[in-house]
Amino acid sequence: MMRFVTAIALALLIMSCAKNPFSVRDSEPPTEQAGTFIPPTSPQIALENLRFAYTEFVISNFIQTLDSDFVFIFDFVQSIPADSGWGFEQEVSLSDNLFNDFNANKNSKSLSLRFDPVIDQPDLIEDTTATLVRNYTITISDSQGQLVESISGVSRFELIEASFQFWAIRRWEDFHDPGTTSSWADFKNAYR
Amino acid sequence: MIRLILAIAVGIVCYAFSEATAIYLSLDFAVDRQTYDWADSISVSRDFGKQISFDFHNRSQATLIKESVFGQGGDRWQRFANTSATLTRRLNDKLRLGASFNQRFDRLEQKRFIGNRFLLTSIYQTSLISVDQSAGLLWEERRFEPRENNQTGLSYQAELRFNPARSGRWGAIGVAGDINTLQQTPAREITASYELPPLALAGDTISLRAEQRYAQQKYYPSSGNFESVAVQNTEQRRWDFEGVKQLPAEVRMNLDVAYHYDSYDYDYEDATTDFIRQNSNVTSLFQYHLDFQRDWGENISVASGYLFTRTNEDYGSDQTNQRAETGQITATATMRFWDSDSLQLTGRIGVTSYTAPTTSAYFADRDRSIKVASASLYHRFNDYLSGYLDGSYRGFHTIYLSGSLSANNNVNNVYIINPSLVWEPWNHIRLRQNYQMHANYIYYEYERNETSERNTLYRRANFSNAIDLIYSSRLTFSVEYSYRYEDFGRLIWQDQWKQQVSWDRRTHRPRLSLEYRPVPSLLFNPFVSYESQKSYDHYFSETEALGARRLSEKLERNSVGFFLKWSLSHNSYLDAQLERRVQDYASQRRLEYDVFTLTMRRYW
Repeated sequence: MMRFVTAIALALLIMSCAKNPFSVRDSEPPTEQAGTFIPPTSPQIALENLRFAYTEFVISNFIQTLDSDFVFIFDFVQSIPADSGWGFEQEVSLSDNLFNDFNANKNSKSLSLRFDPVIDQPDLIEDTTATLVRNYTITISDSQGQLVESISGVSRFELIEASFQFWAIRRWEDFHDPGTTSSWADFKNAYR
Repeated sequence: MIRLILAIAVGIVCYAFSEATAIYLSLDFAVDRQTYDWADSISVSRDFGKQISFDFHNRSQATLIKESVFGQGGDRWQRFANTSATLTRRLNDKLRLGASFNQRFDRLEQKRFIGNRFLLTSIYQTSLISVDQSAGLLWEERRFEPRENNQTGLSYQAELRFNPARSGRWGAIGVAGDINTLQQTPAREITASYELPPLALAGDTISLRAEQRYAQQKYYPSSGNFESVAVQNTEQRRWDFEGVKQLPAEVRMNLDVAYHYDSYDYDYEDATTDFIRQNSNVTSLFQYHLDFQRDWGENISVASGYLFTRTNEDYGSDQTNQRAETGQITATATMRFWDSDSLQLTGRIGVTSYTAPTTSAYFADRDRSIKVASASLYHRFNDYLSGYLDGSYRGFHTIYLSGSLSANNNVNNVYIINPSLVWEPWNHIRLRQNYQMHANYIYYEYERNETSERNTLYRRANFSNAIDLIYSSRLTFSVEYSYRYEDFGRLIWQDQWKQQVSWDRRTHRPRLSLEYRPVPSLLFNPFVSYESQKSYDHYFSETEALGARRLSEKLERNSVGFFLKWSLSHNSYLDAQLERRVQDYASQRRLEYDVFTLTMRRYW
């Protein structure tokens, strides 16, 4: 009797909640230009892909710039809970949220991202690890091209080249510019 | 630094004090160019007779980044410390009373936070019920120069736990509450939970955990402004079930089911800028994992499972709301034949679909499929020679449904084969050989019939040889040489994929190292390595069928250093690593830098 009940319960569970792992949906033919993704055969290309993903809002290209053990660390963000960073799943979720917001409002706001090298911080590239430090500026403009928000700071990226993939970001540390209250971390935190 | 010295001093004093003291000490220091990191922690527990006990915990971190990282000058210090001390007295078998103090310190440039909490505690415990309570004072100091903010309040925490049966077979019910009355940022929360530990029922096992939490917290949403306060209201539910059932034919079935629900509601004052406002949101997760396993003795095991996950994200906007569903099948077979052979086969296939609730083709509506297959084979030819062969395939397919993004639909296939051999022809010589071949094909679905720049092939081959000369159990000398070849180029579809190489890169890396143990507790491992890398670009034109290959970059890198591990006793050790690296790119300036790390762990 117990086995019968277990079998019925399992059958109901699978029948009510299951997804076919073998089939995918069809897509519409492209109506717009594709986003930019260059196979990241060097750490610098991985950062360039990050910049493209952030300005073209293509989440699958963004995900490809991250390692599955990715962590984002910030120096401070005023939020609850008072944590110090997040991992891969949350980074993808908030970026998806952010990209969807900008994709849907393309006519009313746009985002540009610029990386600049930091003096005395040359890129360190080892066999399968690399450290790149960049000054960044994020600019959000309205439909007239008027500046709405400008955020700047320093990011330190640690990248790895795994045996089955190209270069990808493993650790991303964000630092506020001295004296400023908002950084990239604050911008992302609003989409958590 | 003062905190570090203080922590060590406390540890030493307590250690010298009594044998009834338990101490854990951890010290870490690292230098990497302009970044200096310190991290230390100490925990001390001491009993004064049978009635009184004392606990002390401290965790400190400091990071110094030299001025050049931040163009406006000045060294950048970030410091964090969390210190707590608790004194308890046992009045009888059921009741303990005590007092505790906790301080949290956080400082970064003009920003500073100090939070203090002094509480009186009581713990009442019987075999059926336990009640923990604490009440006391809170005072917090915040500064973001030139502004500052101080506030005080009362704190009360309580946790009630009830076990209806001493055996635990009916599980445990818990209720926990926490409230503070800080003037500007008060907080309150209550959590109810039920936990059934693994319970055996006629050979089967079930366990369950359920939790419901409500919280409300006020906080400052902006670092430099202590006038505006935001409110976060939280509701969380957690239901986790795990069951194991024996089926006929010795098949074991595992079923894990989880339901998680999180609701965050934010309320901001008008003065708060839109830029930093978090959206109110509700997310839920439902997941089950059904797994069947059958073992034949200790040598053969076969398992297969199905995973289903559904997440719903509601951010109160059609643009950002999203549902995701995953279905995935996995299968694993492990076989061991005698002592000389083993084989493991693994397969995984799954699809994740992302869907906006309003329409089926809304911007980021997409499917992502994954196919993974891998095989690992080990064979020991004889007592001196053994081999390992590992091969895998990973296929990813990304499909956007909307025409606005479907030009990004692509297939990404990775193939890897990785054989290795270990040969010990004589007691004093060990030879290690390893090869790895890697190919990554990326092509875009809607550009398959074009000579697209985005369809690419990357290939990589590694080859490494090492000889270990084992002089004695205390001394081993190793010589290694590795070679790496990479090339990259466009994929062109002409009835089949063909590659046009854009560049190639060749790397040679010899390395010498020594493993020396002057005494069993000390390992000294110096090493030196040299790396030479040359990159070539390939140029094609209509007149040159084979194209031209020209040197584009040259790199030389030297590295020298040592690793030291000193086991001070069975419960403590010290690690140190120092490395000097010099790298010289033909197109960039020469770079020299040192990396140093020091780690110490000690238990008493």
